[in-house]
This record gives sequence, C-alpha cells and structure tokens, in this order.
Amino acid sequence: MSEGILPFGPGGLAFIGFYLCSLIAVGWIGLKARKENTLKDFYLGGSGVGFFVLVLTLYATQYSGNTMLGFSGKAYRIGYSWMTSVHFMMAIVVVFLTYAPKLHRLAKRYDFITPTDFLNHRFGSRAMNLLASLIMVAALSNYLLAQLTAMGRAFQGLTDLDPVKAFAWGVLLLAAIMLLYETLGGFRAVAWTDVIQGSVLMVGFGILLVLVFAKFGSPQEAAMRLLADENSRAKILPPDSLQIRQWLSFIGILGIGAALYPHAIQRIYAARSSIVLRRGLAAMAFMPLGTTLIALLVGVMGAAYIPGLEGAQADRILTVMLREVQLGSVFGYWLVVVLFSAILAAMMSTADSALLSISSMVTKDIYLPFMKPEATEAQLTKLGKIFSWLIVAVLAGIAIKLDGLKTKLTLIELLNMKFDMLVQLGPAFLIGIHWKAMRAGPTFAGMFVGLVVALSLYPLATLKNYGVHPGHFGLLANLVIAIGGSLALNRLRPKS
Amino acid sequence: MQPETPKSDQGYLSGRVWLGYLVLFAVGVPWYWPKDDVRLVLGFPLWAFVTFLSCVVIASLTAWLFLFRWPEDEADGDEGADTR
Repeated sequence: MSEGILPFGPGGLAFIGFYLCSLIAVGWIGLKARKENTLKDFYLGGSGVGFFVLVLTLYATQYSGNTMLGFSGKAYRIGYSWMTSVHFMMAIVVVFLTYAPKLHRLAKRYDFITPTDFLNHRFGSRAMNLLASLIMVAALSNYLLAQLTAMGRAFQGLTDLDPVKAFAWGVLLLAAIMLLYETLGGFRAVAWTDVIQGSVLMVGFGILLVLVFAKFGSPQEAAMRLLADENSRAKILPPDSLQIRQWLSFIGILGIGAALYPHAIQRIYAARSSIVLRRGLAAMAFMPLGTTLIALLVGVMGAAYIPGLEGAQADRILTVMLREVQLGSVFGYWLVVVLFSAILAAMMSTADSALLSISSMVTKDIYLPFMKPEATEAQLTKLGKIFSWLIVAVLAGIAIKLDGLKTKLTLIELLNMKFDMLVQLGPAFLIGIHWKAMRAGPTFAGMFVGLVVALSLYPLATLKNYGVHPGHFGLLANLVIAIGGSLALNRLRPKS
Repeated sequence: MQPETPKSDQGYLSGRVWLGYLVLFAVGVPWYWPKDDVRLVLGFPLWAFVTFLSCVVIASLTAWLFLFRWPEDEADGDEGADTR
C-alpha cells in the first residue's frame, strides 16, 4: 500500500457511507420543508436562517477543501510564512464590516436574491448586471473546479485503486451526492448539510491539532528540527521581502475578493434579522484562529517530521500524516475516520454553496432578463436545477481531464485566479453602497477595464515572481475610472 | 452577553477604527523583523507569535464592532438606480 493511502476497513467505510447518505436525507427533509416553489424559497430558504445555521453555513462555506489540504500543503512548502493565511481570512471579515450592515437592510427591503440584484437596484445598468454576473459565474466555476479536484484527490487517499481511476470515481461519486441533495432541498439542504459539515469540520480541526502534537511531537521540537537543516531553516525564519509583498498582496486580493463571494453575499441576504447577522459575523471573526491556524501548524509539523514531498505532492501532507496517526491505535483509526469525513465535509459544503450560487445567477441574472423575461418562478427554479447538473457535468469533466495531464496544478494555484476577477466588483459593491454620487457608466467602465487588465497581466510571470497579484493593477485602473469618471460626470451632468 | 441596542453609526467605519486596523495589520505583517531571527516562544517563532497576537486583537475589535457598533438606524437615503 502506498504512502498517502488511508487503509480504512469496513467499519470506517460504513461510517463515511452513512455520513454521505445522511446528506441526501437532509436534502429530502429540505424538500419537505419547502413553503413555495419560488426562487427566493429555493435559493435563500424563504424568510431566512437563524444564528446557529448562519454561523455554521458561513463557516462551512468559507473553509473549504483548500483550507485543509491546500493550506497545510502551502505551510509544508513555506513554513510559518503562511501565517499570511490567518491574516487574509481575518481581512475578509473586516471587509464584511464595510458593507454587510447596509446590504442586509437593503436585501430585506427589496427582496434581493442574487448579488446582481443589489447592482441592479443601485445602478440599474443591464450591461453592468451582465458583466458582474459573468465575472461571478466564472470566478465561482473556478472555485467549484478546485473543490471537485480536491474531492478527487481526497478519494485517491481513501482507496488503493489506480490513482487516475480513483480520482475520476471520487469526483463523480461525491459530485452526484452533492447534486442530489441540492436539487431536492435547495438552500435549506445546503445550509442544513452545512450544519452537519460545519460541526464535523470544527470537531475535526480540534482533534487534528491534538493528534498531530501527540503523534509527532511539540512545536518546539519541530522548530528545532527545521532549524537544524539548512534546506528547511527558512520555514522558521521571518519572511523575506518577496514573501512580505506576497503577504500584503494576499491580504488585499483575498480580503476584498472572498468578501465578495456571491455565495457569501447570499448568506448576508439569508440571515433572518440584523441581530442574527451581526452575531454570526462576530463569531466568524474568530474562525481563522481555530481553523486556518491549525492547517498551518499541521503543514509545519509535516515539514519537520515528514520531509520530501515536492510541488503538488505537498497538498497530500495531511493525508500522509493522518495515515501515520491511523496506524498507531484503534482510537487513532476512528479519529481519522471522523477527520476524513471532515475533509469531505469541507469540500462538499463549499462546492454545494458555490454551485447553488452559480445556478441562481445563471437563471435569474442571465437567462431571465436576457433570454426569457416571461418565464415563471416555477420554470426558473426547475431550470436552475438543470443548470446545476450541466455545470457540474462540465466541470467534473474538466477536473478529470486536468488530473490526467502530467503537470498538476497545486490547489493554491487553482484558488488564486478567481480573486483577481472578483476584486473588480469591489468599487461597485463597497464604494457604491455608501457613495451616492457614484455613477453607473464609469463604474461599469472601471469594472470592465479592471477585468481586462487583470486577465491580460495574469500570464506574466514577472508579476507573479514579484509577489503581487495582477488583480491589484486591474483594481487600481478600476478605481481611477469609477471614481474619477463619477466625479467628472457629476460636474458635467449633475444628477437631477 | 446580549448586544446592546446599536447607536447609529457612532464609531463604525470612523477614521479611528481604520487607523486601529492599519496599526494592527502593520504590527502583524512581519516586515520589520531581522532576517535571521530564530527566537522561539512556546515553540513558535517570536515573529509568528506576534502576528498571532495581532490576529487575536483584530478578531476582537471586529467582533466588537459587529456586536456593538452595527449601524442599525442609519438613514439609507437614495440608493436607487443611477441609470446614466
């Protein structure tokens, strides 16, 4: 049996199977709880969710397969310098602070369902609606692709099948289960499964830290080991100037980009009241300390005790470490079974939220206004479900195809690209919600130019090597055009 | 602890709040540490420990702003469509 394969017996596999089936059961319960066959009921769960469900759905959505596998892999490669991840996850909640209170109030008053509903309300520009929707659909598809890839990799760690076959089976099986419960129960199914997944995830992360320290040794010993080897010494030292630039760049790009995740915005809409939302977001402020930080520590411990994994292989460090723990004792075995379920939970809960959000935007923001304005709510809801299946079919195919290629993308690389696109929505949302003098034309132009600049610069290795995300240059152009253009337009043609 | 009734937007998004965040992030990002600093605290690099502490303070400040400075009764004014 190769390294990285978790040798689960029938009991462990039955537990994971039971867990996956329970998700479908939740989808069925969500279907029974449906109050009306409308877009609002399907995509936001009707009148909204309470504190407990909101916190767990925000948590399960924000912390994904990337957090557990990708972040621990990155910490394995660069060491404590990946404290960056704790900072940028904090920055996301800080950015929520700037717009969530007002957006929630508007969403409740005007019945917003998708993020574009806000833009339409604020700017009333069909061109901007379309561009923003396309940006969000493209960015989320990228995210969903990363989650499907993570599902395939996790499944590879579960079986000793040929890795290529295991990857394909993992993607298809887990995506099918996700589609099933989502089609049945919509947002309710996604939020309620997030409660299960978020709980498993929180418990899993807690157990993980204790297990890793107990099995491998203290952080002190790990630090001494890393310092003793010239090749790994840098993993303990303060980051160099390149890493500092990357750090700052990550805070900006992720802080703004991830705060504008369409599915996160829809959770702001879905909070039952402002009290629920503000308590939920207050709780979220502390989550990076209990989640991202643990993924970081796991990666650093891995680097100290199990050196030698290179490139994309480093993303498997968590699986490799779990295997060590699992083989140690019966207790360790069952803890790893729960942890493995937590890893699956992290991926599926993020993927289902992204998928539901994509489906809502394709249906409500693209199909309804541009293709069939006379469609009924029931027709749109049905169509949204069909779109979900089609989108997953295409992305699962791409994930399997990409895995077959010789050069494998790391999870962090897959994760990055979408933020360069999403930050271009920043001026319209974050400034537009407060600044009444902001005008539609310049804001649209800024968004468009920002996107073109970010995507054009993306292939330039120079920028990447300099440590700055291309999205920042796009955002700069975006801001100049949106703000400068609005000021100029207000002088030339003041609003009546 | 029950969040008290929010007091308009007093303290929310003010210059002082942003200055506070700026200082906290400036302390948290380890740009000012000597390159070869190998000092450890509780087994963690000292610089990483300081970053961790800055994160704890950022989280506390953010949670406090959400709970006690949420601008509940701020006037919305005219956010309607600008079609030009």
